[in-house]
Amino acid sequence: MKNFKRYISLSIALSVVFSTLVAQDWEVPLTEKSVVSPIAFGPSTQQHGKDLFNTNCKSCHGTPGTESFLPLNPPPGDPASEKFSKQTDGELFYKITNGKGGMPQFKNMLSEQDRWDVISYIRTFHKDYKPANIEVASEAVQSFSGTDLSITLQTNADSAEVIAQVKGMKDGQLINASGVRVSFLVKRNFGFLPIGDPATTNEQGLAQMKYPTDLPGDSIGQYQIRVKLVDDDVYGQVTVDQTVQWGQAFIYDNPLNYRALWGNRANVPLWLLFSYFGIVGGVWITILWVVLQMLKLKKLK
Amino acid sequence: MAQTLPKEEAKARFSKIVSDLTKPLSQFGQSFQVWGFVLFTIITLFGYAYFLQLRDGLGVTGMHDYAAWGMYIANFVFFVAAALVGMLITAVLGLIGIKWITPVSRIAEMVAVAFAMMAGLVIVFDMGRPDRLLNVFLYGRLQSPIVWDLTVVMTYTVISLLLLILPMIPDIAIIKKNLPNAPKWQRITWNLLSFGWTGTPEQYKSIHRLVRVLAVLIVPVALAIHTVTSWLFASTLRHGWDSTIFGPYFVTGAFVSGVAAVIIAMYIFRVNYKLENYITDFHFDKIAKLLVLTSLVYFYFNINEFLVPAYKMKQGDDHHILSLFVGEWAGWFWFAQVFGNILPIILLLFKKMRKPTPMFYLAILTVLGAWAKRYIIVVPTQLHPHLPVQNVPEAFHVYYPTGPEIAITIGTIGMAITIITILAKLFPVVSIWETAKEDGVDMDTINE
Repeated sequence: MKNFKRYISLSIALSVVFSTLVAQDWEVPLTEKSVVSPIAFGPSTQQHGKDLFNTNCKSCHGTPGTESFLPLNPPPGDPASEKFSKQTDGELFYKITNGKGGMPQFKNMLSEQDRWDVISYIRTFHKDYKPANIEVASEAVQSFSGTDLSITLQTNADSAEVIAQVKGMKDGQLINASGVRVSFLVKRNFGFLPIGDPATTNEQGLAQMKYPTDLPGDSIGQYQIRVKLVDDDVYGQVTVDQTVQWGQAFIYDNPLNYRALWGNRANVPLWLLFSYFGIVGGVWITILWVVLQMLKLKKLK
Repeated sequence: MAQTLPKEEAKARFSKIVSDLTKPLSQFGQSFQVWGFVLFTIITLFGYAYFLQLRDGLGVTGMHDYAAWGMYIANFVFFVAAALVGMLITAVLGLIGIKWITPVSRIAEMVAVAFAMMAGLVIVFDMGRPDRLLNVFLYGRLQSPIVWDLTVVMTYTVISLLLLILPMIPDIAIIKKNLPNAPKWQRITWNLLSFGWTGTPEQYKSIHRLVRVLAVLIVPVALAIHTVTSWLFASTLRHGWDSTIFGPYFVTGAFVSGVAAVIIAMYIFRVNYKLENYITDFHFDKIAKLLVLTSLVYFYFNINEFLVPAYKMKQGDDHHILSLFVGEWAGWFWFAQVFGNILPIILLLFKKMRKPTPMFYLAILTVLGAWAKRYIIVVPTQLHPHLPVQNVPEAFHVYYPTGPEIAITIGTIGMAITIITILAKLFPVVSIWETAKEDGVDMDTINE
């Protein structure tokens, strides 16, 4: 008994030490350490990296700079911390690509460019970071500096395409807003999910997206689409919803509509209903009969 | 049955029985007052703790997201279990014509009624919002074992109460006649419950028939009450609960704890009510053998319940079983198994142990073991959920009952004992007319 407890505590202690060692000891091959991004980091890679980070990394690593990562063992760590900033681009890339233990492998989930974009986003939190790639970002993302943006939609039923026309006020005039990032979404059970990556409006203020036609829609194949501006911190919430009939007709067969054990109160299975009331009724009728007979005892002279 | 006694002898014998068995009903001496004060204190403490729980909610207990069932539900299962003894003795043994139960069956029914009533109340005490109890009936789903459980608990309580009162009606008429100076509360109850009894052969025939009907009816209801209680656990997919034999496992365990509880009550009444000539060593010897039998059956179910999963050691089950056998619950587990099951089997094989005093102490240990067993059925499983316990306060990793929770639990046990105490002051704990009849007193003398 005592020995058993000793073994248990020893093995727990060992596993704690071991897991800490593992966490400390994530060796990246030297050749991988010096790998650098093939394209320079810039606002567009950072923006894309931010979107990717929020969908793929945030659930464990939290919001960078707030130490809000999950308390796992080994701890995932805050990407804004020194633990990350002192690593080379190549080390981060290797770890995102291959994963280890609790850290998933993103080799097949994110393209190489996507992974570099995530690193470029993380690097925005590292003050002392100097890009290994000396080539300064050449492409500056165009950005519309007007106000009061609005979206109008044009849909093409044949090709299942949506064209979003974004306009905004600039210098007192309503003009086409170019360089504005627009995301295209579709309503599913628990909210809106994006279709592809956000698109950026061209000079005419147009951005377009082809929607899939194999999505399950309602009973006649309708589904709701939503187009919105990505940078709502700059432009405010600008959203347009529309219903299109591009999906597959889908009739939801709610299991709660049947008489079943998992059903609601009204849908109790008949066998259960009859068994319950049959048994309970039979027993209570007998009880009442006994009580009546007891009350009649007086008359049995 | 003995030979019918001559008239004069029968009269003397009958008046001796009546005076022996009714004397305790009018004695409220010093020791009874101390006893009453102890019970009053326990219930007062309960009242304060329950006030705290009503005011502040279930947060005053140690229960949390993981251990949502704690000491209260363990206590509930214990009450339901011990209540089954009424059915075992009155119905099963009575219907097959076992004679020695005559002085025991009323005590068993009193224990059953008190424990069944408290089982129902403990469910209410386990609710943070007892005012919503009615919602179970208004909105409950028939698919839920909880609805079935409430139904059978109420039904069993009513049948047990009837099975207590029905065979007692002739006795109530007798004591009404023999104790004309009893306090008003006793006389009112007796008047109400004697149902105009005069002792005609038709009346005897009628209660014989009614008792027989109820005795048959209570067998399936009693099996249902504890089987459904076990289904509250077994119908969920949790390690340690996910078992097909939970119904019979609970029922057989119930007989062990119930018989032990009746032994305790028998001993206390024998000593305090000076009933050595009625609850004799012979009866203790018999009920000791009954405890051995029920313990052996329960032992068999324990082997099935633990050996089969332990042989396979399915993932999850392994953790549960190891924690019970050698881990953090080992103390509780072995206490429950040794005192609640193994020890009664071994010790009661010896004739010297089948005497009132050693049996009394052994029965106390058995009841404690039985209570501990319910606790380790309810609690450990919940602390080993299928998903790892993480991102929760440290306190959620363990379950320790709090002061108010323990006070409420002890209070419910105090209330059960109070009910038995009141019943034993209202009615003779041993049947007068059945004892007289077995001693050879003719019916005319009994009905005079």
